[in-house]
Amino acid sequence: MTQAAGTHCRSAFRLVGVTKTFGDREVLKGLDLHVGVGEFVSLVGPSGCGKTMTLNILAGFMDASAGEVFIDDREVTRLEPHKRGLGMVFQSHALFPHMTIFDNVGFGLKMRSVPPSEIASRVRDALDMVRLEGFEKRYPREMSGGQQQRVGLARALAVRPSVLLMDEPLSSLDAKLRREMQIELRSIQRETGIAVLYVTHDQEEALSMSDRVVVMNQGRVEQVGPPEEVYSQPASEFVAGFIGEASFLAAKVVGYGDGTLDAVLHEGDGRLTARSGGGAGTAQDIRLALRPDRVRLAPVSAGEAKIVGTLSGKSFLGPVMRCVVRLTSGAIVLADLPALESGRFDVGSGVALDVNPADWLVFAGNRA
Amino acid sequence: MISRRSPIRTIRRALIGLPMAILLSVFFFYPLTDILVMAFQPENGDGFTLTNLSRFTDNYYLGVFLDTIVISAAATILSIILGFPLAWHLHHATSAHKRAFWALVTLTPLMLSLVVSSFAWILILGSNGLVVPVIRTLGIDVTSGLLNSKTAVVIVTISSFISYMILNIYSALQNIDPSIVRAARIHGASPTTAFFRIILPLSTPGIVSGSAIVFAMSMSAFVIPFLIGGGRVKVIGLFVYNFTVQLYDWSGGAALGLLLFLLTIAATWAIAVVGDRLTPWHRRGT
Repeated sequence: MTQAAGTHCRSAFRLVGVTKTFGDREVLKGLDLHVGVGEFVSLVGPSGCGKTMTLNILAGFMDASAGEVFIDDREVTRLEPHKRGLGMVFQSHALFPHMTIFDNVGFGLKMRSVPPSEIASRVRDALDMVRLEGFEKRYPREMSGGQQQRVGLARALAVRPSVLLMDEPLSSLDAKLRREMQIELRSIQRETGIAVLYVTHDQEEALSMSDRVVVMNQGRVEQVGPPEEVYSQPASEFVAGFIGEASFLAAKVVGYGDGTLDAVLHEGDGRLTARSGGGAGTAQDIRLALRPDRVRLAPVSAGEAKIVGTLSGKSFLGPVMRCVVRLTSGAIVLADLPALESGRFDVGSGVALDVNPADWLVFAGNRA
Repeated sequence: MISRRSPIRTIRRALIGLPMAILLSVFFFYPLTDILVMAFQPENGDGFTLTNLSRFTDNYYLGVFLDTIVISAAATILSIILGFPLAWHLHHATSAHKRAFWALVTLTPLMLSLVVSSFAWILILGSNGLVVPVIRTLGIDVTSGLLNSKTAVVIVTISSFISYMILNIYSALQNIDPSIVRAARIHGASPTTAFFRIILPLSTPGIVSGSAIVFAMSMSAFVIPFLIGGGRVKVIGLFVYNFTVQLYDWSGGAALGLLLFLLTIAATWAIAVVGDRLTPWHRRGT
């Protein structure tokens, strides 16, 4: 159990051994996920990894082939969607085009037979929360994409669900609006204390908003943890590559020291010292991942056992200069240097990699 | 938005429509004008008169107009009721094969000549047909068979024109974003509620356009009332035929045709207005 889950004792929802098969193809493989009250959890992964399916199973749009679903400690595995008491925000906004904004936001309340006077006040509250006061009489098509998505959020909030499902809610908005909405969404979520399951393919969005991130791949959970942990201690090579950027190298371990290991890169690219333990155990063949922001470049000086390569390109990314270093084997290592520092190295010149042993991410690997 | 297209582009765009414009003006508007003129001319061919039109304002003809409208309205309304489930089925067809099969079923009436399908219906509805013995076993007296009745005309009209209704409703259903239905479900709507509050209102545009087509076609129908009604069901289309082909009274036929044309336009316009009222969300906004 990860540390964040421990801090939220009461459960908002739980998935226990949820499996989904189509014919003999298993697309969701025994998924376990426990989300506490008020927790913001993101599901990330490449398309087809099963994240949307997980959301649909929790929503009740799809039945699990095996396993159980609990919402508020109530078993809902076979319960129809409209009886689950959830709220949901959709990628396509999915507002009811034939209803005014008032009727859209009040829809869930009307379905719950809430008296009209209370509907009116709760719709007002929900619209206040998303800063859309005074738009009650409009139709969805009379509003911009960002406004429509806020109406979608208000509609889900109005029913005061204990769990709010969000299916790529911001991916149809432009970048600037998306960043604004991320902050707004997060503050509304904190204010209301509603647990959120947030599906996104945008790992940056997941890192910046979530209490915990669930990285999925091929129907399996690769890692669950707070964003910092998933980023700095990826549990697998896949996670290292999916969350944040990384360069990958293959190496052979030549000796273990006190909490460190010495390894030789394949094809004579050089040797290195890394912190041992972690995911690799005592494997002989290892894979190494390196974050671009953890790499420093140094001039090549004789005698040192550093990894040496050629600076084959530089591109300006704004805050940093991205340097592409080609090792003798042809392997590529990316390094992000402050723009000033990168001026010391010319494209085409030899450079040595300067990496802190603790910054090598080590994985057991047979893949050469 | 203010259009600032170059004149050349405007002309080019107009040219695209030219062949159809020529076709329509030569083969449709010209004869139509001819009929229009004929409707206001005395039988000897000179001058202007309203007598051609005014002779159809007596109670007898008003009854015929009313029957035509009632038959068309009944066929339209029943087409909605019977066509919606079929469109729904087509919309929910899970495989391409199933969709193709149901599309074929839907389109079959359009592929058959009206004359052929009407004769098929005569065999079905006649006193020795498939239906009458069944009804008789239920104890209902149908000694004369079902043919030669308004009911029979309505049944055959529906079977012939329902395809247009199904296709229009189907395309409206296809236009509904499935997430909208999911949004209704997750926020508390049962499948039935979601149908009546979301799906049905959102398919109104299809129902309205389908109704306009089926109604207009039923109003001007001739073959069906002629063959199925057996002279006992009197609709305007039949009288137009009688006046022109049997009585050689072209002025009368033209006047009656004109009245039918105006009535159909008025009714279609009324359907459009009602449809507009039913879909206020389409009207407003930019």
